[in-house]
Amino acid sequence: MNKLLRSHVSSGRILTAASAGVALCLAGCISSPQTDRALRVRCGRMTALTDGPGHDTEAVWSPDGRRIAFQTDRQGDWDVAVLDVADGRVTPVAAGAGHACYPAWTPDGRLVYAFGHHPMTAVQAARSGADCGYGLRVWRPDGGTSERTQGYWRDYTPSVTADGAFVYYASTRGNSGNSAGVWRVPLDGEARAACVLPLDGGTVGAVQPSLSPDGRFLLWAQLDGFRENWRLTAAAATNLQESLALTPVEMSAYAPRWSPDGRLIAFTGFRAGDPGWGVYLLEPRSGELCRLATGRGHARSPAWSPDGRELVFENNRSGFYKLYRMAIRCDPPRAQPAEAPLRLDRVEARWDAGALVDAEGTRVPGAQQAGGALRFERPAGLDFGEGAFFVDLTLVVDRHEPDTRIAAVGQYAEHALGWQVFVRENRRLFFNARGPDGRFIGIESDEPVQAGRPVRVLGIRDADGSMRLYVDGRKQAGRASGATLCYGPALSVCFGQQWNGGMRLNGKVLAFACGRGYPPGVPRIMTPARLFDGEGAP
Amino acid sequence: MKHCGWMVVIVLCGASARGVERFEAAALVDSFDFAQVKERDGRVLYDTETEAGNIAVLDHVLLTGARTILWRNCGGATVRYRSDEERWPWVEAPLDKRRLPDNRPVYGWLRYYETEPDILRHMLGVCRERGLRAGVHGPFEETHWASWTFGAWNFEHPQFWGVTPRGQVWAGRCSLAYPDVVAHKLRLADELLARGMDHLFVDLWRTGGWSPEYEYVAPEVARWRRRHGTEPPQDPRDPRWCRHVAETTHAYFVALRARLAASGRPVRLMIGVTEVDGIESDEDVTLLTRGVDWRRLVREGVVDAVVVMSAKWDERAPFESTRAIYRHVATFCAGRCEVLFPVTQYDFTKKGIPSYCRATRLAPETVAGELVKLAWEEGGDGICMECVDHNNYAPATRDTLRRLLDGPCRWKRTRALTP
Repeated sequence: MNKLLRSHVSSGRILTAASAGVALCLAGCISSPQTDRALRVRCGRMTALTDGPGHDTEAVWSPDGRRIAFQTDRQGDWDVAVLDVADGRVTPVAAGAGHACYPAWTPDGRLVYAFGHHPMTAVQAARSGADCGYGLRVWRPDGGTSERTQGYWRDYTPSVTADGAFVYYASTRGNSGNSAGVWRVPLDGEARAACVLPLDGGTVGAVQPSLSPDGRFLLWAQLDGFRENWRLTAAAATNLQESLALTPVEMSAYAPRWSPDGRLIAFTGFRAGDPGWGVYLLEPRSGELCRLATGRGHARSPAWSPDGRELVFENNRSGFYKLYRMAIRCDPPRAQPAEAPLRLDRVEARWDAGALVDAEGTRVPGAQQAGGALRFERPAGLDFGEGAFFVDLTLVVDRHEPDTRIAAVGQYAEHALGWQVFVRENRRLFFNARGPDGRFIGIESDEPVQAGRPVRVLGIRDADGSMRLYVDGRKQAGRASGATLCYGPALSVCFGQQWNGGMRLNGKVLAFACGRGYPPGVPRIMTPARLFDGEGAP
Repeated sequence: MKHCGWMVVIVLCGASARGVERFEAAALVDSFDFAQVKERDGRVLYDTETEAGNIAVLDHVLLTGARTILWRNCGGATVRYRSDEERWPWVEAPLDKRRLPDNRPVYGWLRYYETEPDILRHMLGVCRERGLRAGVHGPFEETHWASWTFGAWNFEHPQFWGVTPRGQVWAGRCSLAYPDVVAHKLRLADELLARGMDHLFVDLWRTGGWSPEYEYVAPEVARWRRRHGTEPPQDPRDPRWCRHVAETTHAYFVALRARLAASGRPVRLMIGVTEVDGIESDEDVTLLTRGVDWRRLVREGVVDAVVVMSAKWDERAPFESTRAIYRHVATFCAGRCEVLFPVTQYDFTKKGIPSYCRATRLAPETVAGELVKLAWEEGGDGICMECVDHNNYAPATRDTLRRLLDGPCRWKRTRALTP
């Protein structure tokens, strides 16, 4: 580590001197489209803060603006170091064997970071009962270090709230899938860590959570499936379940950081056609995006200076990721027209005395099938198009079977299994819709369904293609997105069997309704206006 | 075939053994699948991050009678040796926060990429020392259905990522339409060659979710426009689009063939094809879902061997329909390349041994024996077992396989002997 630090010291001083006038030399490069709503950003010159071999990444500016903490792998594994912004001197914070990474400042100048050290093989560690996870540690300016969390799991990407009370972080604690949820632990004291956003299952997770400067919103990067992109996601700090994706589904976006005034978010992003990873700015209320002009190489992991006038980030134009700073000025987008009113919610079909009755009162009688199943031919009102729709049914499972059984299915020309509610061999409920290419996209219930007891299932496909599942009024933890199939008229609806007569449910459907939009009492899809300005809250 | 018929064949084969090639028995070996195998007392049996653990894996695999070992080099694009090409960014969650961790005990904590000695170099060496054919099982995929299997190089080159018809980028795989990506893949092949690989089996069944759907990248779309003067079809399973993509993948295989040849060693290039139905058509699964025209690769002599990984046999006549498919494929490959047929315990395509058992009500060892004999009788050059895990080929099945592979099916049956 010492050799590394000497190199940083010598080069850092020169580089820092050269960057002294950075705030004065805004080049006026505007890297967003020139529209009335565009986020207009002027960037200053990019100035290197570190150089030499090895990667320096994940920089964060200290609250007093005098230091930048970062991680460096010059010595092999990740170490945490601190750069003095004035003189370029680099001081080690966490070095030696093991990975020390993802530093985050506390308001009083301490650093929280993730640490893991794994000298054994996975089997040796399991046999010996050794801890082989990543935990959070706290470094103090006096050189002391304390362990905040540790176990056979991974805690990482911490952030500290503006008041210094809590650390938010990603964690795999208690998870079984390819996943990570959001946890919170008090920075000091004996109180235990708590999960605030549980996410588990097949490739679903939330990483790098942070509270907005005013403490009202939590922001993180979320992945809803291995084919999906990381998306910036936000929610009211008091209700993380009703979240809002802030970046488009087509884009890969992660590593978000609030600006000090809470107006903007800086993050790492990539869209088709970009030359590589770039630093983006997002105005979360309007959704306006701007990719900063950072020249050659990938630019990633931006973090704000405390005054909000500069960004520090990493760029690999030299062959290694090194730290750079850049001044920015941002004009907020002009006022926007009000959002178009949502299409009215409406029940389009409900089951009544053996028939499906559409909104105009037309009845389509159900044809009795073997085993008590029902089939309705060409019922009206199920042409949901691309908008939000819901399927609301009550069913009872008399006996579970060793394979999948269908409770309800809508057959369409676009896909024979357009949407389905079914019970799997693991006794859990599933609601699925389809992607535009017919891909299955669905959510499983948190718990198995009990036989012999009525259970109410509400599945929602939101207008943006995200899926929700409620069981007996409780929102299930699973997440899915991309279900944007445009539904034309239904060819049939079946209760208790597949559209072609197979997979019969050992049980029955007791009630059914479906429609456009949302049924009463269920929050509609989160919008920026609802989240940030509290408009239209139910 | 009746018992007396088998005896005649055995005699004929025995008599002509000298100069006749051994009927091949290849095993796909995925050490990861052994990593969590436990004894009843909870003791983990194989430490696959150690030399001894991997040798124990090999010893177990050899109980099937396998003589060709195709050792898995990766899970998705996370390689299982000390790669220079895939060294950075760290292929470990949470060191790269774009990877969601695998949270299963043991599995989720394996770090094959930094194991010493280099796993692949070591195991290929062990195979050669034992007189086995030493090869690599390299899936065509760059993700194994989870974000923690994405490649390091891939994460560092988003500008080459796949794009859907709707313009959505996917971090899962870079497109072979970019020369930089092909160059990267060839450097990975160099790493395998440097570790002593004599056989490279590119598994076209394992694609990790990739398909021609993700090839709407700028060079491919531009090439389509130049050729057709129209926008490309929006249905990624449109055979015209799949054939378009197949031209790019074909060029990659040609380049790979040349790269292997440039090593100066006779390295065999094998491809695995799935859901084969024997008849050439635009409905070919490998073409429509993998964007690879495997028959063209065979016709043009790009590949040395085709491994049929599953066949679309008919449940109403399991072995008879299998035989017909094998005959078609063997006839197609005759004089062009070798062909291996599946004796697979995996049943992901519902065409493996368990499905034969359901359709015929025969025991797994009986089905396995019938499949070996079918492959042998129809002029196959061998069989391929996918993948040999801990006891998925039960002891009785292994005994049957060894008995046939060391006995009546020891030598290849020349086509002249085929009735």
